[in-house]
Amino acid sequence: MNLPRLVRPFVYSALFAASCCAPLSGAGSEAPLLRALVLTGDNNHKWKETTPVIVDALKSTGRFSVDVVEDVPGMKPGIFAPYDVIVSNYNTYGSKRAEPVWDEATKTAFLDHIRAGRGLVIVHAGSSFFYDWPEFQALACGTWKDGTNHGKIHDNRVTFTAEKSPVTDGLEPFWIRDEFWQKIKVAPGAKALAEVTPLAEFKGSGQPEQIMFSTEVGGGRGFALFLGHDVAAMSNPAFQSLLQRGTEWAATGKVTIPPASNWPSGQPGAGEVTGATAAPATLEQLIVFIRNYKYAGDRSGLIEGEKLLAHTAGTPEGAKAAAALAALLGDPAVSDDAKEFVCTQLRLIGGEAEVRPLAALLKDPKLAASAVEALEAIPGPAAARALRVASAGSESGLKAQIAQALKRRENPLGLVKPNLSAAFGESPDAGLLLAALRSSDPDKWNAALLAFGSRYSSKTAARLASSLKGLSPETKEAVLRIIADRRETKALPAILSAAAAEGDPAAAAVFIEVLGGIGDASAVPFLLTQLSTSDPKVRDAAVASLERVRGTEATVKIVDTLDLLPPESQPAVLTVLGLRRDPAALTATLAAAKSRDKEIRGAAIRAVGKIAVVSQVAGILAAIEGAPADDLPLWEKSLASAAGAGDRNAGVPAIASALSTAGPEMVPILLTAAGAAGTGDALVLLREKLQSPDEQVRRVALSAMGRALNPVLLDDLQEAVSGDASPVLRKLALRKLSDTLIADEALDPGRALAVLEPSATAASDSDDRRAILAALGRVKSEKALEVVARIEAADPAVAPEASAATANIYKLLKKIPPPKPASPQPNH
Amino acid sequence: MTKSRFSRRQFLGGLTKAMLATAIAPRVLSSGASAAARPASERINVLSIGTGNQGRDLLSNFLGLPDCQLAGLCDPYGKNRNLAMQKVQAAYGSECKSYVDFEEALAEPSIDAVVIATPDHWHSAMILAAVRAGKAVYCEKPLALSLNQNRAIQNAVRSSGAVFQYGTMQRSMPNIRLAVELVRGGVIGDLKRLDVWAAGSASGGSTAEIPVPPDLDYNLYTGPANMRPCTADRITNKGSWYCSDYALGFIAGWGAHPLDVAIWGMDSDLSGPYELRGSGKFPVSGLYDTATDWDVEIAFADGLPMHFFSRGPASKYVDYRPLDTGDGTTFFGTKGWVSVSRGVIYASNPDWLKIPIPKASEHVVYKPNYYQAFLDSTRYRTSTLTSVDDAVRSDAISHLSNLVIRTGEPIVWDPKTYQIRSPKPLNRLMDLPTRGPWATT
Repeated sequence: MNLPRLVRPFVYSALFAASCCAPLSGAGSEAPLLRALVLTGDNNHKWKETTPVIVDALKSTGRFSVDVVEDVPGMKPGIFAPYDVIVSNYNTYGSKRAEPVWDEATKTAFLDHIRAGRGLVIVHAGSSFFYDWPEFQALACGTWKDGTNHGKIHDNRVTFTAEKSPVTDGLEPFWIRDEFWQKIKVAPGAKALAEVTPLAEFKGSGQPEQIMFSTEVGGGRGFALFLGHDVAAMSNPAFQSLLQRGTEWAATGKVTIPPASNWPSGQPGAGEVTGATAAPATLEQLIVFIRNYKYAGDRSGLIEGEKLLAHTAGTPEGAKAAAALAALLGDPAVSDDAKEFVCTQLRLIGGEAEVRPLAALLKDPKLAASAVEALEAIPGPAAARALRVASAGSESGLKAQIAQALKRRENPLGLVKPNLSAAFGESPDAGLLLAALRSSDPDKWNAALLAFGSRYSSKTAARLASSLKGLSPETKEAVLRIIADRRETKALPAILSAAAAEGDPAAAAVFIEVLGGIGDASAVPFLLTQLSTSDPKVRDAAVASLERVRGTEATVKIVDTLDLLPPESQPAVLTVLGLRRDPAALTATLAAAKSRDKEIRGAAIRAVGKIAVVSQVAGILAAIEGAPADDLPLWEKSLASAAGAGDRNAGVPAIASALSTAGPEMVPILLTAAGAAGTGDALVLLREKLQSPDEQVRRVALSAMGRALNPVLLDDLQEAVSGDASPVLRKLALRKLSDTLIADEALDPGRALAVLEPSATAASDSDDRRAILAALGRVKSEKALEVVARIEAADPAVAPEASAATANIYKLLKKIPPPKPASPQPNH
Repeated sequence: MTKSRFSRRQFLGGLTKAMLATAIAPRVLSSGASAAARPASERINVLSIGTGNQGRDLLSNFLGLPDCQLAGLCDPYGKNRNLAMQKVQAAYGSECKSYVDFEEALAEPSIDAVVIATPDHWHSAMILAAVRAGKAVYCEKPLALSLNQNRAIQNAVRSSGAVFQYGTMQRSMPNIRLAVELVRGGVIGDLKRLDVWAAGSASGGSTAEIPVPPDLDYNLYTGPANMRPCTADRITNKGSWYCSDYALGFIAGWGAHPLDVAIWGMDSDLSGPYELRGSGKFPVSGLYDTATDWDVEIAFADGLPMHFFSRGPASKYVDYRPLDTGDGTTFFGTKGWVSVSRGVIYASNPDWLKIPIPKASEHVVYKPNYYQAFLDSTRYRTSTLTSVDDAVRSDAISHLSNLVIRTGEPIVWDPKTYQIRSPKPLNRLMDLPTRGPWATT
């Protein structure tokens, strides 16, 4: 790019138009050109490269003539007069040159000029100077200050806010590869016009971030576009259009320049935009689109995404896509409508791995129906189990939906001709059924299954179970599943002998699963032998079934075999024993917890924690004695889970007595257990230790108190907030205090204020104050409003949290908050 | 469980009467015919479910038939119920029973037949409930919202012997019948290929939530569909045509008409596997989200190709006749073509259109009053003008085409096993999840 000659004083005309595209509109020939002055000459970005792009973008519209000034500090009052709009691609951020010092006359001339109906435009970092000149900053809309930051450059989709503006009117969202600023310090009165959600995988915030603004101050207009980190980003057609339209608006208050015809609504990547209908071409791009999707928003990416996903169905890529989609389900930043789309897609590509994240949605009233949709279509027992489990606790509407879904899963109707099934009679004969099940006619086959399932008898079941051998794998599976659903124990011996004879691992997995459902102690030996097979799927199925087989007798049988198993199988079996939660296994697991094998020890300690109830706290304490130091964290968890189970007071005396003689390595473990017990006596232990001279002990006591979340502890916590010798612990105490108040369902406002007010005085930084504000938001009291106001006045950085707390308190008080002051607050 | 007043014995007895009736003098009864009304005890008691625009249109047709006694109106929307009741009042001078919930209405033993003109998402649950209650069913096209729902309807109708007539109504139009006679009679030669087109869904529709109108039971309106925020357009007929919550869109809603004509003309049971491939367009914003355009090539098992497309591509492909109607079906034969739409018929040889067609055709069953024909079938338990089997055949083409354009994948469909042969994973989409306690399969 040829730079034009400098025009003295300090200004050169930019003569790029000849080398660039023809004007887009004929406006230039009719209306006089708008005059723009671009400030540059210093910038922590590559201003020598980017300035020509800005100049080109403006001139290419045929609407502007553009001059450039490179000596901003040397600008004099008279310089502004000819220009309709000043565009800043200048800053002094991190520069060795000092911030420009305009004398009062130049400042006044600038403000007077802009306020007479003209505009200031900020590009990317173009407002990172004149920090202490509020009138300039107000026109600049926002700046990099007080925690503004950014992640890595990546492709992302920018959407427009609901704010009406001629600049964005009629524009669609667009994709751009750029650096996305986060937490821009927004000037009072500025309207946010566009946002983007920088992706966490590129060190982005994962939150919507405002990145384009406009403002009107005293007759002048300001427009700020924080996109455009480099030439590549500035070459994006949407960036150029927004710069052109924003500059025209700043100059005139109106927009006549049309948006780019190659608007990048779909395909990301500056410079490789293919047109308006392009859409996500990769899974990563689709994920970005889904993240940004909201009800009634642009669906183009979803429509294309559906094809992308359908193409991967049934392949490893599909499984990968399913996992990536399912990961969005737990993300609170993703909209319900986007999650609904994810559920619909998981109908097609979801597998066992997606059952858990989907099942988690079954408790969400807005998404439960969608989760049921997906679970209905996902094959395998895990999905059916998740549906059955959810059905038990759900309200009647959802229960009915789940019942329909399960019915369709088990009998994918339409495939069965009821009249055919009727042919088997009221009590279907096993011989006839077997003949039909061996038939190649799918209708007959289905009908036989339907007849067996709907007119079920134990006798027929036993007969079919003993004839499994000659049946095809899917027939075997179907028959076994019907029997398993009936919890048919009469068929158990036949199933066991068929299972033992089964050679095909896939079929073996079905046997194993069914035995988990109907098996008792007699199934244990078979299931244990399956632990040593090489197929991990079979092993996992065996572990799951060993967990499910009924009866203490089965537990005892597993325990008896434990020592005979090869060491590498023992951890899995110990895990199973933990999951069975049968006290009959406690002695054996405690013994295994002393094993020389580290794996076995770990699994055993975990199992102890699952099985043990408080009455066994003493037994566990005995086992801990002499345990290797490496195991202590595991023991800590197990002891806590035992202490927190059942009658929680029962274990406290044992803990108290152990505490009185405990060495330093045991104190934290015991205190954590006391916190888990959380009863009055246990809390007394914690309170005592909060007075300990040992900082480490006090820290553990505080953490354990945080686990108890008991309002009884508020005064102790408050004391620690104000008085603990360690600043770190004072902060920790404050967090626990705030957590306790937030968790308190029956919060007493008077008491809360009594601890929060002094805490506010003791708070050492903005984070502390945020924690206090979070708790204050739950205090139903006029006085709380005053405390919030005081905190905010002392620390403007917490203004957003303060206003959230204020809004909450008003809600609790059932009062309407007073209107916000209409005029923008001064910056100082 | 209730039984129809027309018992099996009456049915068997009536069969001969019906056969006699068709053999000697086919009934010709048009709306407002002057034939003396039957005594009330012999009239067929009809329940009208869904009293929106189309429901009220059907009501006008049935109210004029002396064989019909409109015995009940059912709609969760008070506005529609009242408008329909005004029609009943005008015809009978008195009101009939009025219901909000169809299950309550179906429990009424005196009802013989139901006419269903609800949004599509309700069809399956209502047909199945009506068949279980022993009623004859007239259901508006398209059939239902999923391939499995269709099959469940087919099974229920077949195994119960229920009377079911698919509400496509064009088989009682003389020009449609003429086209089919020309095809089946071999006038156009051997059938070589078909063009079938229909208008696509509209885009747009309001997404802003509004309060549910006080006279609308929104839960019942939504029924087995997804519960959504109520918007102004969602609760209109357009909402029920174009929102994927309630319909496949016009690929089925309007496609049903020209596809039914195609099926009638092809005279094939379409039992062999067939392949579909193509593409389509969906609205990227607004309330409506079903296909606005599609362009799907189908290859039937006997090598017969069908080109199924929307009005957009139609302007490109249909250069042999005026595009003066929303839909159309063209049969291309070895000797020429005939193309038919509601109210118009074109042929490569205009002389064919003057061929006199005998009243009692050997090729097709033709009755000029589609609604009277349904009442006749109800009374005598005879087969209907458009059977559930034909409904399943034509609606499957819409469902599969929609699946092709949604997923971008070519599909091979096996009607015999009622499964997608390839790509197999798509079989997971054979059914549609539903909300609430209503059984839709």
